[in-house]
Amino acid sequence: MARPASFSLLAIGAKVSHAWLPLDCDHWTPRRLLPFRSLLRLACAAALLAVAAESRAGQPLPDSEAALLAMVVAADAKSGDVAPVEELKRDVAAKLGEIGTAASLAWLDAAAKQSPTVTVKELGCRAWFDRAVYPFDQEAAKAAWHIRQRAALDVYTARDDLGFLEEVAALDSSAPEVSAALAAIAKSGTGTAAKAAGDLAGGAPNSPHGNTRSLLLAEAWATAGIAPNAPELALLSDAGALYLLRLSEKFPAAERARLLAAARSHAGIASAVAFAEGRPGGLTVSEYLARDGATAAAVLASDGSPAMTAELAAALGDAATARHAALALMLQATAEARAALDEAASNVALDEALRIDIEGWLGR
Amino acid sequence: MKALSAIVIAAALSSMAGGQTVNAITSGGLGYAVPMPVNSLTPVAGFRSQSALDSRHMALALEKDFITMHTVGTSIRGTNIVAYRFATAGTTTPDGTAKGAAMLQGTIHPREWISPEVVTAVFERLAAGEDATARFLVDNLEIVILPIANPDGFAVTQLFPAQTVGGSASGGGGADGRMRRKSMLNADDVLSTTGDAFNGVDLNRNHSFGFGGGSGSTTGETYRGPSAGSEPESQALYAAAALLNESRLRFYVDVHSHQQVYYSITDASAARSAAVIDAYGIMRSVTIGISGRIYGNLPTRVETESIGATDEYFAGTYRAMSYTLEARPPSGELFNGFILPDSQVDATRRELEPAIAAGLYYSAGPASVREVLIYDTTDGRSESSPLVFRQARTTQVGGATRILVTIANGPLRTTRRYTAVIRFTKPMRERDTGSGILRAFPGVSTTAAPGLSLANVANGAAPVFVVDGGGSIFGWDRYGGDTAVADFDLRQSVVPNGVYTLELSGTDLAGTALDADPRTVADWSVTGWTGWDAGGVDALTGVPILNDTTNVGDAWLLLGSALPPR
Repeated sequence: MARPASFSLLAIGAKVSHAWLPLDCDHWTPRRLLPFRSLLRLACAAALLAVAAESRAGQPLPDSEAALLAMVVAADAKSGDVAPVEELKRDVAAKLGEIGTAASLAWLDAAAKQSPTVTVKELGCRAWFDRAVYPFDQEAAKAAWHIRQRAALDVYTARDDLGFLEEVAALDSSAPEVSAALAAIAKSGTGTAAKAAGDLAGGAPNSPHGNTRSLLLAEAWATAGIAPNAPELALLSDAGALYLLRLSEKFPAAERARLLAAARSHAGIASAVAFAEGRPGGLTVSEYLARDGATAAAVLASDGSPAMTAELAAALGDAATARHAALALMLQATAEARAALDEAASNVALDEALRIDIEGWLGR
Repeated sequence: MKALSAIVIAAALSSMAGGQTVNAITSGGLGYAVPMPVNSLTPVAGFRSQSALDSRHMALALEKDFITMHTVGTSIRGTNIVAYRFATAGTTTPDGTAKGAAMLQGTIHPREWISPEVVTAVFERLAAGEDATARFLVDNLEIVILPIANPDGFAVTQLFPAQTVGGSASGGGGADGRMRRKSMLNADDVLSTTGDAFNGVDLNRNHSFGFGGGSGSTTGETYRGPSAGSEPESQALYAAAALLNESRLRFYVDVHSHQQVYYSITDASAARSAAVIDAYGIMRSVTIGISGRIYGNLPTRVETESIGATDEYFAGTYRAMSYTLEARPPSGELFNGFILPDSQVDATRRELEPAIAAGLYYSAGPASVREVLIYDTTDGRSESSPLVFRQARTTQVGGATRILVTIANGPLRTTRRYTAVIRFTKPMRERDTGSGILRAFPGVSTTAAPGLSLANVANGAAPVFVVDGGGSIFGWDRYGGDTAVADFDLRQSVVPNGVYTLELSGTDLAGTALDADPRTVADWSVTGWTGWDAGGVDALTGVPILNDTTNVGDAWLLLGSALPPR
């Protein structure tokens, strides 16, 4: 395990020169040092090679959780180079995320609260900021989350009902138990899920649901294949409603249609639902534009065919649809669409404000 | 070990040479679900798609007469770059002063998806015009919003929301695909194309005032381009600014992620720099008031620290209050700031849109009293309550000065009861939607009510701002919260036939004090605010003295509107 000399080089690179790890050293070069850029590039390359040479990436770790924990505990206890310790902690944390059990949680939770000290300058939009070279804290947090998620899922799936959901509904939506509960619902049968949906909805009747309850409800409805009605759906949080919309493909066709119809009344996803539904069969371009306005324009614009352009150009002639037909043509932005808009801009029969906007879009 | 090192070195050198390895960004790597763009015109609990955002902007522009759309250029790949100008008709405010100009820009770095969401949130609020501040802003400023400054790059990030060239499963260290930062110069939208992932120009290094910062290498992540303003996207930015009265451009925000900080561009003018920091402080306070998050400040001197970024361009060219706003998170939080989880999107919009609106509000200049009316309400307030006294300020031709006009000058009597209606040039308070109380912007500390003093001759409660019930003579006038109302009567001890001065003080929604001398209209200049008198006594105390001898026994009021310092 001892790699003191080689990691000293990295430590020097990291601490003294702010770890010239980025592949492009030019970013940070102060102007007064520009004449020396070639030398700096060489230095960067040297630092890069040093890091590559000293990296422990790919070295096998033990498969035993106890051995992994013993390694990091021993490494933490040693004084000396920090970099190899932080790298080891990162890698061990990642592996514990895959194989660890509750026995690892104490170390992982503690590691998640520590701050890595070996940092690299990472480019922000205007300036550099410090990023951990070995973000063991983040890996530890993720690993602890996964262990808890697995443990919860084991408990939940061992039960033959979903009676734990009310308790889970009180947790923050990012909690591992919530993820486990969603997975458990998805694995349950339709009847169980349907009962769970009823219980969850009944747990907070007629009041807006929090994010977690909304997510659980969405999963339960989707697993049961039963679409909620509009009043039930309206109680979902925006995040829950969007989750339900993303699950909509799981519903049988008829239920999906019912779901989308109901979802149109939820302000948080109404527009997304309109996009998802697309142009209903039987509606002409004009009828669709008149019904769904800007959303219809956006949906229609995804068809950039000359035939669609011609239909949209025709819809420009009707005051009821002209504005959204123009929008669709702008979004199409094909040569034909531009030509249609160009013609519309000089059509005095068209609303003047609309012509001004068309002129503006045409860049005039 | 040697073999392993060789492999790592070869991989590194391959990467440096332009070899392209397409990697997946995963939920395991991020620690949360990989955000996917959602087709929705309205905000969702996540990121909207580029086409949905485009549709949203254009649709709102087509719906609202005060928004006009302008193709200000085309990108390197020929995509229209569209800017939107918000302004009611005319070049002057409702008070007759010249409108100021402001500009917001987003998505210059495509991977920062929160940027167009924040800018669009401001867009949507201004377009909706449902609140007093929004209506005030479009009445009193010309505002240009360029929501998607780098449409080609944004398109690539949306095409590959879970893929990057190089980098880790969290996206860290990656380029192109979801992690593209630059323009699409000499790059295509096929990730497997060898050698182009690192091509493109960092459009936030391509401007004068510090051109030469960033990288000179065409594959550098901050490649500045061959010359200042060389890129068509940069030219589009300048054309967007030209939609405004450029001589009056005073406020600019470029929204990015992440670091949770403002870069505030200062210069040699101490007064201008102080105003830059003042506006930052207001924006910071508003966000703290909403979410508790603290956005830091990194002042950057335009003369000596510029790197060719857009904020420096607007500070250097126009001497505008100019900022790069980096959205959450700060370094150290456990999620990738370039790939915010869906759960962070709405919260970020909610904490930054009002902050930017507050900055715009500040940039419109200080509030002043534009009219005071005193009604005889001895018989209670009614629409027919007799008007006893009225003075109003009118802006003179040219908009640089105001004069006070006395419209009604009747005497006040000790035997009567009155209601003073004080109208300001700006909305001064709003109602908190949660608690229902009247307040300044969230997080802004200020007194609840304006001060009103009638030289110790009046009894009455402090004025109350009116945010509801426009249309009444005791209601707000142009905007909710632009009016304060106070009931009072005169003390019996008042000296008859005296001359008194009504003194008003207070702070506006941003917590800034009234202009103490509205005769000289406050305005923005290359050296900061001019005509914004924060400590003087209003010279209008010299209005003619009334001396109606037929009303012996009554106290006479001279309304001088002396506006004391903050």
